[in-house]
Amino acid sequence: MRPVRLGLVGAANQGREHLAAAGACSQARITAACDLSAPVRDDTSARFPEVPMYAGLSEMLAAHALDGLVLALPHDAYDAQWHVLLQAGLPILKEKPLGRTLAEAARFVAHAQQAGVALVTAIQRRHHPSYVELEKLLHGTEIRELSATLHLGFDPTRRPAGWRGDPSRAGGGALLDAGYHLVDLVQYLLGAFEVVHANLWNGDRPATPDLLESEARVLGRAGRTWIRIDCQVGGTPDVERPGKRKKHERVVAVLGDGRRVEASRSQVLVDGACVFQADPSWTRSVALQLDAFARRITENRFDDLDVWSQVPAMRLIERAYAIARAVGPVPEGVSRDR
Amino acid sequence: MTGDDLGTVRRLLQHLRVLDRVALACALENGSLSCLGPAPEALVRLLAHMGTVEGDVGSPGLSNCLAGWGAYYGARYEDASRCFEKAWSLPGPWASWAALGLCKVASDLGHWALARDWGLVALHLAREENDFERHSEAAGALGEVFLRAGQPKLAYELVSLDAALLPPGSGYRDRLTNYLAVCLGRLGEHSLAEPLLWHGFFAAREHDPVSAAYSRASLYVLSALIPNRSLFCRLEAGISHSVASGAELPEAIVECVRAYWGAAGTSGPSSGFERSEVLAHLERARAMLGPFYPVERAWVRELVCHVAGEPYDEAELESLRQRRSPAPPPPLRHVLDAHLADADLSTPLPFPLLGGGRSAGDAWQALRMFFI
Repeated sequence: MRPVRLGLVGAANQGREHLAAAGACSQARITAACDLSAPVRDDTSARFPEVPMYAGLSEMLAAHALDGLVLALPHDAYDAQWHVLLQAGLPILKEKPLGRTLAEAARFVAHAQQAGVALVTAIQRRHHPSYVELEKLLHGTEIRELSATLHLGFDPTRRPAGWRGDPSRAGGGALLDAGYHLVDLVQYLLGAFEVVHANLWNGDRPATPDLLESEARVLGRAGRTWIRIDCQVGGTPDVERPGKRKKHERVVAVLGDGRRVEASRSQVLVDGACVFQADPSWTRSVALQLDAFARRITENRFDDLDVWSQVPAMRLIERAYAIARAVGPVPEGVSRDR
Repeated sequence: MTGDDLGTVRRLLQHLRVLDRVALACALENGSLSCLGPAPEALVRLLAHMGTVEGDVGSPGLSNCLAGWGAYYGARYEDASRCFEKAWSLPGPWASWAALGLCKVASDLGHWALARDWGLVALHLAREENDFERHSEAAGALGEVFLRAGQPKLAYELVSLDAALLPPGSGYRDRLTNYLAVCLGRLGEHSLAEPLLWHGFFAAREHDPVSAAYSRASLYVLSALIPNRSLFCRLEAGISHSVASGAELPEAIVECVRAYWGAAGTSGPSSGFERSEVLAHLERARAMLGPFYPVERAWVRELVCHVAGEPYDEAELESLRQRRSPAPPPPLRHVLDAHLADADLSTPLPFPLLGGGRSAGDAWQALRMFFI
């Protein structure tokens, strides 16, 4: 059976993850890529010489018969280009977040529907073998508490370079970026949930809208299950590497019968005993995601909850921002620089 | 006791939250309920019962809980501790309430880590019982513990959680605004804290004078923390204010800040201050604290020694050490609250709030530890 032919739009960091993973795919192949930036094109071509590289989408489409597009652009690049991307008429796998705001996400979805273009958000954790195993373990089980943590291990005091450091271009900090993964993961594991409370921090200072948050903590509820989400650009100090922060990723759940289930990207534990092991790297899960997208294209299946849960994810994130900013620290009319 | 009865008691206790503990203690000790103002009739009956009747009010667990709160609000911490421990040992829906009581007792006695541990038990049980009201109370109590233990970031998270869970129209909003502002002040966000405190003062002045007194006292504390003498002078000159019944703690703090500004010039501690005037402010503060707030009382005693140039005899500190504290809770495997359980609150009783061997400057800086 012929592999599904995908075109990559945006060939910088995230795009390269897709290119690296495509080699491990059984049903999908990235046959071409495009990027506006010449240095990015040169760098990516040097790493993936087998993939033809183009400066623009139209050149790529003219040169290749494609079955779908994978979009890996900066958060702020989609708004102006959305209609152009939809005009290709191809199913789209768009890197998260679905939008910088709920309104933008809803607009993208509505325009895609009007254009008859299928739109799927790329969320790798749903495809990671560890979390797939965790979902199986938790499915149909009473869960009392669930905590999801993602610390990226970067220097939280350093303002991100480029568009990521600009609140209006990035749309948000740790909550929209790392937090999106966790919000989606919790939805994947538990289904819909409600945000009860949220705090945003920039280091030890409460974050304001003009100051991208480096940490976000969200308390939520799904039925009778309490949920805590903790995402940080940094993390706890690493005592073995002075000045560095620890990378950390883990989901911990307490079941109704008192058992404790822990999952990281490398293993799943039940009451401390390892019941599953996995390759912690992303390559495998990104490849599985590309294959899943290829199957959707082949079967023309784009109407399931995995696709539709991305708008609720955006709604939860927007709600968390609203709650954090309503409680404090800056009530209307009060300025930090007063 | 039926579930409805328990619900009634809980609602009554919710009402108690907006009453000052000192006023409540007066009511319990003296049998006089007039200082409670327009309290609901059912509340008055309950308080009369708590203050005058020994024995069972429906079940031993609940009875001990009520007696524990009565003792706590009367500053009889040892009695409160025993009652709450007894209630805790009896299985029933009051367990989180008893745990909260043990958290409050431990907090008042300066046992931060113990208070945290009991508070986390209360928080955990409240979640299991789906009791948002108790969850809110436990979060607020833990916020106070973390603030007093020098962890303002965690305190802010907990107090803002309390605020987020607060039902609209509960009448407690102004106090939580004040608490949030205090946390912001401790985080160094003075420019955010001050307008919130002014807002809290003016919002509460008409309908909750005790809350307004707390806002005003927090502004005084802020003037010392920044430090900003002009803010202090504005407060002294600008606000016409009468002491509200039940506002003894904030009034005591105001006296401490007056003593601070009397003892410290704009460029630091000076020997040129009017020693007698400073001592008078501190003595007034101690008198206002009465039998309540033993940690704060011991701190004021330390200040008196510094100002008077007397050696610190540690008598007050020793008596605090001698007081019976609650037994530790059973170990709990934390998931949602692991970051709170892991926070380092290992300062020995009741440091860093108190310390006989430290300098006067350090002792004055402990002003920031008060949660008001």
